[in-house]
Amino acid sequence: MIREQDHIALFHSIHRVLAAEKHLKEREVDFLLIPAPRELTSACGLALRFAPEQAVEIEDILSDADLRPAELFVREESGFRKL
Amino acid sequence: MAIYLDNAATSHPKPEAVYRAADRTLRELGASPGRGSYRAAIEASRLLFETRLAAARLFGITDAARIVFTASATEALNLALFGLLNPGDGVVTTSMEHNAVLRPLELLRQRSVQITKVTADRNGFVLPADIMAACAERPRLLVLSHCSNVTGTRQAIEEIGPWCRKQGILLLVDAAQSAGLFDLDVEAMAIDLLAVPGHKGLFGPPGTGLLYVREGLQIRPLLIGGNGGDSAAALPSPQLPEGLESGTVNSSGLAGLKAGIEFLLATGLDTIRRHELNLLRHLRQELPKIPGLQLHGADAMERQGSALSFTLDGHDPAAIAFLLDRDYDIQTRAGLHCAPDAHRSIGTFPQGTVRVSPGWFNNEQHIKHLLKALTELAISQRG
Repeated sequence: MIREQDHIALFHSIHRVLAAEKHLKEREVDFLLIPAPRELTSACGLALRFAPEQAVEIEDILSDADLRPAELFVREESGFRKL
Repeated sequence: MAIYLDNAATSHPKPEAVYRAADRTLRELGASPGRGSYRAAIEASRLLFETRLAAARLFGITDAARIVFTASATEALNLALFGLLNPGDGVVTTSMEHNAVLRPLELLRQRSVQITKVTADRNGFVLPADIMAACAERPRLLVLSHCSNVTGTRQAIEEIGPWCRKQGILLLVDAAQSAGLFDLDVEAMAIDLLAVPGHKGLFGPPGTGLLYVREGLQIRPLLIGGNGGDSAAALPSPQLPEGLESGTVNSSGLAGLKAGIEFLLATGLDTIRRHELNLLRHLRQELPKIPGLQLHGADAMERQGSALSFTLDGHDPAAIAFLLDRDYDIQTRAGLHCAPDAHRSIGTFPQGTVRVSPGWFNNEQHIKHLLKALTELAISQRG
């Protein structure tokens, strides 16, 4: 489900992750809403997954909408690295 | 068929889409918002999210995350008052408030919150100058209803709100009788906290309501428990909206509320207001012509909301409401309407009044039936 170099954005709020989803869908960006990986959080919440090529555009869209993720990770060989 | 004139208690009937949305959610969607990440659970979360967006649009709220869903306006008011106030804080309120404000304030008074009550005139209007004078010592909070549930009188929030903001006084507005009828813009009116029922002017099912909490204002939750967030944390994160929404959400009710708000936005607040106030204008013109009838409403149509009260000399309001129901199939409400101080202000305590509150689904025929019934009652009951 999560490939190497994929970015994972956590929002610590279901409202905010769905608000982020809405903005990204409107801009037709490629991303996926997934269950937040258990390694990253004990919250039974949702996360956004996107490829590194989309990272700049997605972060710009979210930043403009005042929806910066609470935490951002990248998947590496050894595990998740916090950005 | 019965004529329902008790929309100030809850609106009835509801737009068809409200029944359908609630039924569909209960029957087909099922899953609980924020619990689980399977598609149906996410769909339920999206429903909640979209209901918040619809409500935000209605009240000029920029960030929908500042809307917290509650079971009623009463719960929203309790959340605001108990979540905000501490011993030693000062609160100014008015004599026109509902028990949903008066009773929490009484309990808070026993916990050393200082309460000052500003008295309304006999038409239920509280002069802004009187409120400003009562706020001379800069209380923490001013809490008042936008429209009275007894007389329908609309207070001058548009004048009081910006003044409070300048003075650094927080403003909590009880919009139980005005949401869905009058324009409410939290920015333009400088409202810090707005308590709204879902099941009155917004056409949602009972068991729905909301509290708007202005950005930057942190209040304590009324309920804590599971909220779909970090289960390992000892306490829920204070982040809104989830931080103030513990326990399983009333998703079928909120689906109905969303449909109700959409109906309201599609029909237009102006159209709804024009229709309801036309019925009120008719009532205000004709009721005083009935022998012995005293009208208890706003002093002028400009201040009139969609409820008003009357008394009939020499008759118990409860008996009038009973006869209207039994003999004419007209549903009105008699008594104090959970607002004892309002009746003290307008001079109808302790016997109360008969309240008539038309809604969107009432028409001129209904008002004519009521006027005819009251005329007959006034004549037959005399002597």
